[in-house]
Parts: sequence; C-alpha cells; structure tokens
Amino acid sequence: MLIVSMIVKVKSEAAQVTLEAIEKIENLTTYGVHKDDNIIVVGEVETVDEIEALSKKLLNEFDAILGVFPTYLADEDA
Amino acid sequence: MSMTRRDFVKLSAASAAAAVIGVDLFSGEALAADGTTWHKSVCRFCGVGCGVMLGVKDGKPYAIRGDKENTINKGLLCVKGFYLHKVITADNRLLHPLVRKNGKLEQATWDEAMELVASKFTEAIEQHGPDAVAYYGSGQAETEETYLANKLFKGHIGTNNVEGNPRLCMASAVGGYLTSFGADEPVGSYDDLDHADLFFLIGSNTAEAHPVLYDRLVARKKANPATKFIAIDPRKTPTNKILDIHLQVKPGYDLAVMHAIAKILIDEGYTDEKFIADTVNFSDGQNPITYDDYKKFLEKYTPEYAAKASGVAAEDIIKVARMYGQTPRVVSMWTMGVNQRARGVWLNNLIHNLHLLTGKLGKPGCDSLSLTGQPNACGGVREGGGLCHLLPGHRAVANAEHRQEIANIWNVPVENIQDKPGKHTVAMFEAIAAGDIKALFVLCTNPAQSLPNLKKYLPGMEKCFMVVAESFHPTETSKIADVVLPASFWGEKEGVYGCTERRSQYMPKVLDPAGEARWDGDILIDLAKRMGHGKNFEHFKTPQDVWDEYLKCTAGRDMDLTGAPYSRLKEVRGLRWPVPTVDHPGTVHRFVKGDPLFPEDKAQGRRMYFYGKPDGKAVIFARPDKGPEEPVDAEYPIVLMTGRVLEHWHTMTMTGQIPQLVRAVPTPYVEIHPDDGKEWGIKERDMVKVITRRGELELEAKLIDRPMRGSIFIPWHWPESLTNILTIDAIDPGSKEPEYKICASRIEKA
Repeated sequence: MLIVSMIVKVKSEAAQVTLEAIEKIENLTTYGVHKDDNIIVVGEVETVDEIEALSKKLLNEFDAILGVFPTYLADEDA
Repeated sequence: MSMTRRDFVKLSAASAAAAVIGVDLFSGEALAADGTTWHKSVCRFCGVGCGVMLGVKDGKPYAIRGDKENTINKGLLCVKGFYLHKVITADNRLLHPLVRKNGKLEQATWDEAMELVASKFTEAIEQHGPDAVAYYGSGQAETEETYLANKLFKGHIGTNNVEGNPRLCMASAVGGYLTSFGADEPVGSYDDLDHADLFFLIGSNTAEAHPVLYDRLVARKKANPATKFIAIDPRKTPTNKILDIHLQVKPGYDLAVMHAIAKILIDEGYTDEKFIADTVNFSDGQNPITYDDYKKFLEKYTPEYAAKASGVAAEDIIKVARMYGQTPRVVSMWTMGVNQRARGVWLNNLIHNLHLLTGKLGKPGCDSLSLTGQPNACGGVREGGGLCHLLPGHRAVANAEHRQEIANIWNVPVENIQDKPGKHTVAMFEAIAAGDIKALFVLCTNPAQSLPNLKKYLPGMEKCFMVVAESFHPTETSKIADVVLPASFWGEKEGVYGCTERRSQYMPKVLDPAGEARWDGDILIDLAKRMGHGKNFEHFKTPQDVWDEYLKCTAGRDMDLTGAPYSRLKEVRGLRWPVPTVDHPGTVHRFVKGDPLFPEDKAQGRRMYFYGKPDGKAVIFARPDKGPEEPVDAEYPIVLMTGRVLEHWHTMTMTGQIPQLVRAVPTPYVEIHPDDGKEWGIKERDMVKVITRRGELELEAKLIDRPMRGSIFIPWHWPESLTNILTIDAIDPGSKEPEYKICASRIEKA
C-alpha cells in the first residue's frame, strides 16, 4: 500500500472549484485550500496509477492547475 | 481514540504537505516517530538540486519527502523525485560484475572483471599509446568520481580523452558564459527568481523539465501579480499556461529575433549606457568592434526582418522588446532548446547580450540563468574539469600554468598531462568507430542511446573493448559492453553534487549497496592500482579524502570551494561558490561587491567587474543569424524536434523501472499538429513512420496542438524506440555540442 501526499497548485480564482473536482475522485482525501492556491491531497492506494493518472490529467487538461507537486510517499510494502 | 497504522501514515503525509506550504494542518498535533530515520540528501535527477529526505526503516529505503529546509525546493518535489527511493530497489539493479564470454555477458568475480579491464587498457596503451583509451563520464557522477577519473586518465595514463555526457547538453552554455562573461556558470542564483518582474524563457519547457523552478515562477507571480512571462519556443508546452507572450518561432530561426530585440532596446533608449561604457566590450567573434559597429550590424535586424526569418509577428517582437526594456528586473532562463543547436554558443551569447545592453545583471531579480539537465553536470564535470579540454577548478589543459598547478596536486610530472585537448564526445565516438580508440571506460551514462545519429556509432562501440560501470542492467550500452561493473546507487554512497546555481550539496550513504555493487570511486581507485598508478591513489580511503584533495584544486579559483568541507556540507543545505573560507556564507551574485573575488581596486567604482576577462569587461557579440544545419527541403519537408516529457528522464534507465511512470507515458509517440494530421491523412494513434537521412522509426501518432504546423516532436526516452537514430550529429563549432533539437524529416503512414 502506498500513501502519497501532494500539493496541487491552482489559479486562486479556481481553487474551490478544483478542490471540489478532486474530492470526487475515489481514494483521494483533500485537506482544503490553503494560502489561496494550494490544495493538499492525500491518496491511499495499492498502486499509484490513479495518482499518476490524476497528475497527468490535472496538468494537461485543466487550465487552472499550474502544477502538481508530490511532497511525501511512503511504501508500506517496503 | 486509537489511530491505525494507515491513519498514522496518512496524517504524516498530509502533515508533510502542509509543512511545505507553512500550514499547521493538525493544530500542532505531534506525530510520533514510526521508526523511520530521515536523511538529508539531494535529488538524483535533473540539475535543479532539490533537497530530498530519504526515509530508511529496518535498513531499507521506505519513504521520500521533499526537504522543506532546502531553499531550492522548500519541500516540493516533481513526480520523478517522488520515486527516487523505489529506484534504489528496482528490479534491474545490477548485483554482480559481468564479463562477456563467448559473446554473452556472464557473472564474474570482481577480481576477474577488474583484472580483465586493467589488462585490456594496459595492452591498448602499450601497443597504441595513451590516446588509444578513453573515459566517458556523466553529469550524474559525483564530483569525487569525476575527479578520480580525471586524475587517472589525464594525470597518470596521460590522455585527455576524457569526456562526459554534459558535452551533449550544456557545453554551449559553457561556451556562452566563457565568451560573454569570461567565466563559466551563472552570475546570479535562484534567489533572483524571487525578485524578477519578467521571466524571459527561451528553448525551455520549464513546467515539464524543471517543475520545481516553474513553481517558483508561479510563486513569484503570486507575490507580484505584475510579473510577466515571455517564451521563445517553437512548441507549445504546459509552460504556456503562465505565459503573457509566446513567440512560436520556426525551429532554428530565433537568432534573428534576439538581434531584433537588441536593436529595439537600443533604438528606443532602453539600454544602460553607463553600464555599457563601464563594463562591456564588443566583438564580431573574431575581432573587437565598437558600439557603433554593433549598432550598424543590427541595422538589418528590423522586427520585420526577424519576423520573416522566424515566422512570428513583428509587432509581437516589438512588444517583447518593450516589455524587456521597461521591466527593471529580468531573469532569462533556457536549456536544451538553446544549447543543443549547431549555433548554441551564439544563441547563448545573444541572451547575454540583452542583459549586458540593459545592465540587468548582477543585482537582485536579474540574471542570465542557464538551467541544467543533470544533477552534477555543473559540479562534477564543468567545475571538476571532466571534459577533454578542462582540468579541475575551471582550468584548461592548454594552459601551462594550469597544468603545472594540477600536476603538483596530483603528484605527477607536468609532462604527464598533454597540452592539447583530447577528443570531444562526437570525435571520441568517431575515433571509436574508426578503431583508433581501442578501450573505453563508460561511467554512469548510456551513450548507446543518447548519442546523435546512433547508427554511425554503434558498430564501433560493439567492436571496441568497452567497460560500463552502472547501477542498472541492461541499458543499451551495458548490453553491448565487454565488462559491466555494478555501481552503488544514490543513498548507497556519499558524495557531492553541484547544481545549476553554483551550489554544492552533500549526499550521505545511508544504505548498504545492492548485491556486490561498489562505489564508482572505489572502482576507479582499484583500476588505478591494477594499472600501476597506486601510489597517488592509495591515500583515498573514503569519498571525503577525494573531496579534500579536490578542494585544493579549487583554492583561489573563481569557483573556490575551500570553505565547503564535508563537515560543513553535512550541516547546511549546500553552499554557493565562491566560498573561500569556512565562515563565508557563499555567493549570491558574482562579479559585484559581495563576491569575495570582486577586485575593488581594479573595478574603480564600476558596479560589475568580470574578473575572468583581462580588463574586467564582458563582451557583447555581433553574431550572424544562422538557421539549422539541416533545413527542410522538398525531400524532407518536416522539421523534427526532440525533447522530454515530465515523467521520464533521459534514457529511462531509472524512470523506466517505475511501473507507474512507465504507465503514465507508456509508449513512444510523435506529436503532430492536428491540421497537419488532417492534411497528411494521419489520425490519432495511427502508426506512422518518421524518416530522416539517417534512419527511420515507427511511432504512434499523437495529434496535438503543440508543435507548429510543418514540424513534429518526439520525446527521446524509450530504449525500444531509439529516437537518436534519426537525429543529426552536426555540432556547434565552438562547444562541439550536437544539434539534437532540429533536423529535416518526412512522415508516412506505417
């Protein structure tokens, strides 16, 4: 099992909308918008495929997302 | 309420993210230690130099997080750094030495492998002279490792055939800095990113190739909403999200645009005439010229001329020039789109020209900052002298004084060091193909995938006696090697990396090496001893011993690291040279007051003194505009560009072992503009054949509005689809860096 956290940097005017979009994604927990344009996201997954897919999708398809930055990953199977 | 293990780790993860942005998510709730020991280190991937914390539990790599104390990344990582600890235990780690027997690589003992290497190298030298052998290193090797290789090959074997893969990625930046400013590496530092009001990006997809620096640009915009972003790039990229103006130039035709900007800056009075008078000389590349000569040279570079040459609108060029001129603080950033060009040095010069014309250099928020592709290309190879014309400490083999200084430190007769440069990378592999170089030692790199025009060079590499010291196997190079030596990986060895902003950072050894892997430095010391050069290597018992000797090479040099011994580097998040004493804080801006080498007596009131130049003056170059080496024609009418994606790094030796990264971008592809796809009858996911004069490749088509019409783009990472069989090996005459970025091609349905 992998536990990952990341900061999703967004355009501040779209932060809340983006937060709501991320909250709908299974296996992800959000911890709110901070300092206008940072969304804290934690994923609890068997593989990080879902996280990768999300990262890719957010970066390439959502104009409001400026960057997806992992901050922590622990491999509980290590 | 009891907390499960899973809850605990989730809270830890959220806390780590919160800490990065300075938020106390759980109102100060303390998370107890879970048996993980965290170690401060440096990311193993690109040249940004991000601080990472490696978590070790029960002697194994367990977790990774960004180092929030590190001022470069402040806790953020990109998706590649995220997986570093998983690379350590990747399935393709090489655990034992391999020796080719009857055509196959078979497991061997260290003694057997090293004896074979020593005897083959000795035999080649005895029969054909020292230039019959060569070393090909890496911007991923530690400084200590490159130093040892340099000492062995240049100082003891007596050949300057010492090269490294930075020749392929940043040699043009070196050439630009040396010719314009008289000294390699940036004037400023990342600190300038936090003060700039305008970012001038050229040939850099910062969002994907240097995401953490991109975040700093985004942060700057937040701190100062008036901050503007300009990019000159033939391709739209994710970086476009933050751009105010994108000059989407025809690939290879941006030099004229740079001249046009310079002309407008002068014509409209945006220049800093005092700075120019005090601090700048002019040159046509051969001879000194006057400021008036330079203005005359620029006459033809009207916005209209540049627009015609580059395909961008004249009014946009004017707008960019005015933004540049009107904004007090400008940072330029570039990378492979500038460097991997047949006129890469010239284009570097033209970027520096704009800063010199406007005096936007050597003060907060102003810099001409070349971004680096590898974690230690600056530290180990540029500063450590790991190229055929260099010696440690920014010295040159052609300089008699420099040779003597290094010979003294190496304890060898000065005659051991040849006074002429050895073979640069392309020439080295040409010599290998011709059979002139008989034995090659490759360390931590993969030239059988990364060289341009690969088909020309692979047969020679197969024929030559080739040793590869690597942490992973197979790579395209290790597959065809005669001996493959298992090397310790990141976390399993200690050493120093020097990143883009002149910052040297220490990495600890916190894990036992996998299998029988050994530190590359230990392998080189072993080889030196077996070849009869043990006397000058046997005192190296630890990497620190090597670093201490290297520091002697830096004393008094422009990149003085005397004040950065291991004891200090272990405590701090790196130091930016020059750092001449252990109580010196490091240098944010060079060539100005505050730089410990700034000669106030010579400067005589000048704000900047470029002490690498005889008169302290930098040079503005009048370079002609020149297009690509292989322009399109009727037979090959499409421009082929190559580059990178976020998820992969270089030849995928590391990222290819992470299933998640592989799945994110699973297969090689070619980007085609949708309108071109329509015209050429190519649909999304069609298999197409890309053909150049050097080879052809079948790829999946991806229709996307990123390349401009008439051009295509291929990421070069996948070993099963060697992009470099297509690329051209034409080189910049100054830097000898190949023009990976541009060649002519055609495309047809497979």
